[in-house]
Amino acid sequence: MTLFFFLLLMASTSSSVAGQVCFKRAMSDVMPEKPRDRAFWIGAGLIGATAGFFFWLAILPHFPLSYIYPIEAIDRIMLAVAASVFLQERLTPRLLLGIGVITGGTVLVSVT
Amino acid sequence: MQLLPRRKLRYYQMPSLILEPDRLALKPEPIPAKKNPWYLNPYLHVGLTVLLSAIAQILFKVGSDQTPGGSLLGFASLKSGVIWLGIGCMIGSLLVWLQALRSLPLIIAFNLAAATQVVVPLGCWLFLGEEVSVLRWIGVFVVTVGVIIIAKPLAKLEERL
Repeated sequence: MTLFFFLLLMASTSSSVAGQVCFKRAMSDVMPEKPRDRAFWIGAGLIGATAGFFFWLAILPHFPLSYIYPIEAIDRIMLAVAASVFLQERLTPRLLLGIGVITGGTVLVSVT
Repeated sequence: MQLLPRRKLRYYQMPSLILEPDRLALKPEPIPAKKNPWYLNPYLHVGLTVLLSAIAQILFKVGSDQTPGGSLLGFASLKSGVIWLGIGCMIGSLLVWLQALRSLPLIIAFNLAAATQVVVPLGCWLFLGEEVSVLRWIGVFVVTVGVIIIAKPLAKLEERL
């Protein structure tokens, strides 16, 4: 894997994670939200998710899927970090255990 | 937790049951929990998201098998009606996902949605007749365990509320 594809991969995961954070920000009921703000955050989330998808499409043809798919695990971990930093969500030990087990399962599914 | 040095309380500083009878008498009435209608249950929303996106994946596979490949990014597949049905399911799953995020923390919703990785192989095996290796079934099982680990304390919390 060259530096170029690594950067592409990072761009893909970080933009889709950013998209999810924007979606959550849009739907959060914590503070009363003007409809225009909500539309803004949903739009930002859509842009992030779409960008992540197209970066992913650009990477896919160059590697076998089984090699590239466990990268989804990085997605999961980055999302956990982003949600605790930007959305102040609590990371309980049980949640971390669950994330670890799911990641392990993902790797197992794609290795075979 | 003792943050301040312990000091002897003077008699007038003592908590008094005689002067403050409210402490015993007034127990706050338990506030009856507002019961949401079943269709607003966020777990139902996550489940629907998982189901719809799994259906979309399977429809994409069926549709792209029907159309000739070779074009850039598979735009030729857009002629297939099955592909458009899949796109519809994808949009539906996004809308339900936004509803789920309304009341669930993002980390929890995202990891519950990992159930897609269980439903897609199951669907491929059932409907597309694809072979799934033993090791892959084990992986699917492990993912299921992970999802249950995250979902279980939530279910208990819901019961208490």
